[in-house]
Amino acid sequence: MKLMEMVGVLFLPSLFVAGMATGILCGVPGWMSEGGVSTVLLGLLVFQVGMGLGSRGDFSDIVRTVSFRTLLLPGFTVAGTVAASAMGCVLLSGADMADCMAVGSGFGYYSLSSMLILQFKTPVEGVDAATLLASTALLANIIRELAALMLCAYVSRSGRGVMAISLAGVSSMDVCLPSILSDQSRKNLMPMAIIHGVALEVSVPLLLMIFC
Amino acid sequence: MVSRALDSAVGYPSATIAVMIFIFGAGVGANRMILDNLGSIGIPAVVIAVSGIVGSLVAACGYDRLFGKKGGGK
Repeated sequence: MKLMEMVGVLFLPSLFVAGMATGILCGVPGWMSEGGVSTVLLGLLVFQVGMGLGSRGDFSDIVRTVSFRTLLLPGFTVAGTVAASAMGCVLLSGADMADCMAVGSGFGYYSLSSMLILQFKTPVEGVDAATLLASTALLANIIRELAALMLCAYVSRSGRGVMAISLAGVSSMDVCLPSILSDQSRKNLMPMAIIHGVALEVSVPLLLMIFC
Repeated sequence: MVSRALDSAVGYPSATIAVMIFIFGAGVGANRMILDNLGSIGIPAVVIAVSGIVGSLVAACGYDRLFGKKGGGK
């Protein structure tokens, strides 16, 4: 793994730690914690997700190479991850299964998934429970992305590019893409990896709406 | 990283999520109940992350069995 990728992945977690230190030392002003600012930012976030997809130079090329079979891979990743998260839940005594599935449904996209869990859960279970679950999602998905960064190249080099894409989750379209392409035995891995990442990015809010 | 698609299009992480994550962290830091429970989220986070990784690998292996060889070259 390249050093810069590692720094990139750890940038947001370190902001989280800095925010935590600020909260411990100074407390949080009301306008920050009462949800107004977060709601506006979340709206902006969703808008930017759409803008980002639409503004890709290769967007139309990617859409053109979509085949039914290519679209099935994200479905497999979603089903495998969510089912395994539910099974993992059995190991955690007292954990709520829908909560575990929500945490698993980030596919390594820790920033979006933790923010959405916080927003969706707060009105239902209160800010404390929502923050706790969002923090779990943040940590679990950081672990998944770091693991993907470290393992993708290894999996892909052994000729299992499709497994590398699935393992990478959302990051199959960006940070893990170079390692995925180290599987030389297939030619269509690049559009497949990008479609997989985009489809998972879109599926994160949908799945969280179901599980939260 | 607001939108991963946006990041790869413009080439830098967006500021929106950075601000949100910071506010999120401040909310956690200012909340005693959460700080006291923070130690207990480590194990669930690891268990769910590892489950997710294994689940996606198994699913992709199944996908490869079903579709891999037939259409992999195109």
